[in-house]
Amino acid sequence: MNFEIPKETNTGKIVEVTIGATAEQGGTRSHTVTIGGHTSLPFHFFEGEHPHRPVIAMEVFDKVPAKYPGSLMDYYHDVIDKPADMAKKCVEEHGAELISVRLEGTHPEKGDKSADEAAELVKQVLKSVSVPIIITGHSHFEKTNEVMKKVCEAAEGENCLINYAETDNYKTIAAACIAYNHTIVAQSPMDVNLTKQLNILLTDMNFPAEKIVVDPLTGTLGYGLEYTYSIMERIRNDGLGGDKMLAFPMLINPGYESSRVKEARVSREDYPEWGDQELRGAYWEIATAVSLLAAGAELLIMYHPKAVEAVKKNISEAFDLKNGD
Amino acid sequence: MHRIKSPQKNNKYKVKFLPFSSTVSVSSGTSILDAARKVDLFLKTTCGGIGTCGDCVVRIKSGTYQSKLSSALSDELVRQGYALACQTEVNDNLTIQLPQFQELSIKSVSESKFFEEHKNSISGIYEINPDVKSISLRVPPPTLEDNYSDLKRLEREFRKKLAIEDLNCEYSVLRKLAHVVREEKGKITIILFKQRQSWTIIDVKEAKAAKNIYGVACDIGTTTVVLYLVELTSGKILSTASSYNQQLKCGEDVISRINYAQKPGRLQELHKLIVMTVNNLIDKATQSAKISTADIYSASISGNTTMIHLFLNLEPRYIREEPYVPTFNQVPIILSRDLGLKMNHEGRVYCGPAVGSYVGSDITAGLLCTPLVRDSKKISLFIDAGTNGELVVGNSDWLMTCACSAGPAFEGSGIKCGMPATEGAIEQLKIKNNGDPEYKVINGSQPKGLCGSGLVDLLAELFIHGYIDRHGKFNVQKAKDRLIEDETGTAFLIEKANNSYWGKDLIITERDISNLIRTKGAVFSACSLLLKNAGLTFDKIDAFYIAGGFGQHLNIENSIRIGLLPDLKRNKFHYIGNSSLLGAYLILLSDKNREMVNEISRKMTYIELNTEPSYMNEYTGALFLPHTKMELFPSVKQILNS
Repeated sequence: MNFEIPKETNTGKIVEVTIGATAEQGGTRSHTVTIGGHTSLPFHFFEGEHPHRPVIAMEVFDKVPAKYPGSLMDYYHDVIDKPADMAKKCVEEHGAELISVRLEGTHPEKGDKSADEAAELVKQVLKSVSVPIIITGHSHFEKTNEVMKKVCEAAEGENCLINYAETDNYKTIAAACIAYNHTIVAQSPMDVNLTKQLNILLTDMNFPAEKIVVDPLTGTLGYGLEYTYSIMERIRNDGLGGDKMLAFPMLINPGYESSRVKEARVSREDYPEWGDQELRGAYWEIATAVSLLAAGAELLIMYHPKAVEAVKKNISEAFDLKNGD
Repeated sequence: MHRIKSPQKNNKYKVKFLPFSSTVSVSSGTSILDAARKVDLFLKTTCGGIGTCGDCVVRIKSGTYQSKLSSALSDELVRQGYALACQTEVNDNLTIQLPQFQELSIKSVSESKFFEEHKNSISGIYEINPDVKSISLRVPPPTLEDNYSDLKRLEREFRKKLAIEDLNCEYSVLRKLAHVVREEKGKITIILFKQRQSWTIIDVKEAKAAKNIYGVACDIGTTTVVLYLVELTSGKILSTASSYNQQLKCGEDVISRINYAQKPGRLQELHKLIVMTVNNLIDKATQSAKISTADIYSASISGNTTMIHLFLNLEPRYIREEPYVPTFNQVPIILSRDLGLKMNHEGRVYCGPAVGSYVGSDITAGLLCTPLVRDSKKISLFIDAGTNGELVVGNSDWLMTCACSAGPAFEGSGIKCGMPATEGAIEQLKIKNNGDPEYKVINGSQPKGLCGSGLVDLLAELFIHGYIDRHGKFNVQKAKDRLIEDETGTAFLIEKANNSYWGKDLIITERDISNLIRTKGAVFSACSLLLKNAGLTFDKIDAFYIAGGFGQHLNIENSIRIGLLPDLKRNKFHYIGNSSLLGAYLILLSDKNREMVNEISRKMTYIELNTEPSYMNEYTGALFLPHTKMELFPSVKQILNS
């Protein structure tokens, strides 16, 4: 007797979002990256279509991050202060499928770099790599709004992923994205309703749905991962259930989140019983990333080369199974 | 009563309407309904005066009359002299008693609408029978033959009028008695307090002194305190007074008041502040009615459990500590002098019963004046959107209740230009096509601020006309002509400084708007959860009674547009204003009402929302205009699309 897997059928489909633009599309990327498009829960290949794999971005910085783990420094010490070079290294040596440029240094209390400097930096990164680019800002809305406007203008036509807009500043960021043809990240603090509300606000101002990626603001392992997981899972279920305002692909930041927690950062000298710091850091990121992949994450911004390698392998294996290999 | 006189044509007859003593002369054949209209007494007629609704019932005290038969009135009521005003013609001089609440509905400032709708059903059930009574006696002077003591002689005369076994006397009465009975040939007035079968003489006065006795009904809200001064024998409301609760400076909500009370001396301070607030209102009310505070013998107080604890100087801390148990549910009757209230020092103070720490006598008293507790068929939802919001669902057989922390926004607190619904408050508002607000101010003066109903209107208008987005943030492009920068951020200008009472711009800031959205969200989500717990949905509810300090004209349509109330048939909603105060008033008037409110409190089942895992999800869903789930508000969706 054959075993029949019971199947859920969903009415909804996750929106397909493409990041980057090739020369024909008005940009300079060698290729674009598309996420979304699936019609069933993550890796439920037997229930629906999954045309795109989750993708991994790696992050470069306009200012060396204060809490950057020592073990990561071993990989990047020669390029950490040269974001364009670091981007190249991430793509060529570690297989980054996108590059996120984190503009933390424009924060008034963390360097207060000018919007022009930020725009210049983004241009350099665009020149040094040909993968699509994510531009990541910070929580000082006044400054981030100013910076993003300039950066969006400087990268006009490249269809960058502008990361992020919140309910309190979405209008400025969304307007810049519309004006210069970029894609947006809509970030809300771990809540299904708040996520939906921001998406409604964006679409209410005629922001195109196929240009929205959602960041549910996730925590890392040991810092609310379970909660994050259930929120993402509910967002995904509602989206697949037909709620169009919750049917956008999701972005997560396991690299940034893990690099800030003590368990992943402290040295072996200080905590001998916790073991090797580099592996610990990588595992922390892997555990976070793989868990949230299962909850529906499709775009992961990661830090640790070993974690990137492991998670990519994990994704490949899953999709190979799908293809029957 | 049913003697029928043959009608004589073109005769004029006098019709007197009690309790107003308004008299009108009308031709024979005029209906009582029309006669009443001539003296501006508008009886409600849902059926349009064809005798089917029964709304216009009156009681005919004297005069002959004949009514057309109507199924809307029971035989029993007909026997008792009730008649439908629309079905009864005037063919004799008549004295007509209007339903008890007719007076309230016309004279009282805040509640007219509800009572216009419900006065008849209520008046049939309640009677005026307060537990404090005044009786005139003549106590003959003592002689050698009749050498009974002053008190014995008084008791003897009293028992001639009322055969009461259990009669007691207060010490303070004895101290005055010898003098009083010897003035004016023993003509005196005694004031008695009745508790079950036991009567106590609480005052004795010379006959020439004022005979009337008064009571106060008071709603002690976390934010505002409102008081009625009532003439006890007629039930007439002589004056009203309201003010902020002076405890406000010690914290805005009940939890912060409880926290405040935890340091030594602070409970006493809070107690004094609320007694002072009530005393100031008594002063205001008695001055405007020109009566003496010493003639107030009775007080009926309602309020949330914390407020009553503080009013009675009781330790409130256990209200906020698990398992959230208050000191009392039912309070014994207290002497006014023990609390320091400005009334007769023998006055009796009654506080309504609480159900629990977060559902107090404001709710039980409020329910008393809704049909909810008397109807076993319809299921109703009662919403009191005060600082601490409370909800009750059920009917006369069962009641389920819960509380939520809504915040004081609808009472006008915590909002930059918010104010209670008193003179100078904008109570209704519309935004014209050119963006200029058009509004109505209570008592028509220059605006001082906005009360709850004005704020609901403002929020709905800003939203429907696209001045704010669904998150409550200004749509700068659309609103730019009326936006100004304030120290608290961007604000929408309602009225310029030179047109406002205080000479300051009347504005609403984004912060105010999110405050209002949080408040309405708390109320709506608590409603959804309570119904979920009762296994009901909004569409199963036959009637909604909305209470709160919004002001006189809460606009139901606008309340739905902002998502405060569910999107259902508009005629299901009844705004009943400050029902806590009305309940206190009903309790003041009759000991039957007191029994009934106790019964209500015993019937209620309390649901704790804090332990409800889905509360947060319901709440954040409601923090949007009108709601994150637009499908819950089809009529609002339609307006936005058009």
